[in-house]
Amino acid sequence: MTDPGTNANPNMGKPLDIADFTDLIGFANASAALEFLITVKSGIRNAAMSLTECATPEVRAVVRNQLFQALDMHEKLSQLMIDKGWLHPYNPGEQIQMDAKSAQKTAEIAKLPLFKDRTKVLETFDTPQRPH
Amino acid sequence: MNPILETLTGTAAMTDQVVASDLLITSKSCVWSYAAALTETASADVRAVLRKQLEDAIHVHEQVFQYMMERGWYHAYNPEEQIRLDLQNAETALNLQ
Amino acid sequence: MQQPIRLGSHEMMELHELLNFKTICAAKAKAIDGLVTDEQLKALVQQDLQQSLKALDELQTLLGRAQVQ
Repeated sequence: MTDPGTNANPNMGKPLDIADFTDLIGFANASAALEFLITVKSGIRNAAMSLTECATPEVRAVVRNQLFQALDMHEKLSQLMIDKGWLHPYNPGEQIQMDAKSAQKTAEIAKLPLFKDRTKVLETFDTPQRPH
Repeated sequence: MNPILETLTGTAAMTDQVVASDLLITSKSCVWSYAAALTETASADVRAVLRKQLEDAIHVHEQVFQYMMERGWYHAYNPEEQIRLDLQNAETALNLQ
Repeated sequence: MQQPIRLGSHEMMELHELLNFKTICAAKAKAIDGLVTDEQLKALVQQDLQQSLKALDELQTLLGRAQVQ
């Protein structure tokens, strides 16, 4: 198996297959962590904005609490991502390179026909409607 | 100016109100900026400082807001009154020479 | 019986936005939990899910007690 990211023409012109990609589990973890980080970040901004628009002390206490909880989560998550080598805050060059690579890999995977005609299969497993 | 005239024209309250509004808007963007900055911080030392200052900023915003509520310059529970007041202030600002 | 709480209409809207955001957060955390294999990351995702659920509960309680002015 070759990683398409490391070779310009890994399949000699043949279309790519999901089996051509190496370390998909690791890639999924890194992508999930990034998505989680982005969500936590926008949560922090949302909470900060809301806090400055709220007047009632009880509401402020709840929103404030959730803001600081999100800040703690951001701290833990970014530290984890740094430890795993998924985030390089002190090395922008490395970060940009890594992001460009995963963007490329994601785009290639996204173009694969992975979920052809899955609707029927999914519908088969859907929970039946309960009569009202 | 004559205190009676000031009261009649509304300029006496206007100065303090303008200052307070400015303070409120500034303290709001202060809170937003600190929160946004914290999400871009990796260093523990920087984080600790920003976090402390965010808490202070939230406190300042709360105090300014409370002060404006007491003075009747901020109607958090009455949007119609707030809009009326804002339009009146805009009018005053337009009439400034 | 929960005590009613006086809320401004814009406050209701802010809480509503946060409620929607946290709802999506919880759903997404659950989906991501099924995707990740890294144990440390999984622990954080699960912690976030629990926090989102608690946040949802708090926001719903506030909205339930709300009396719009």
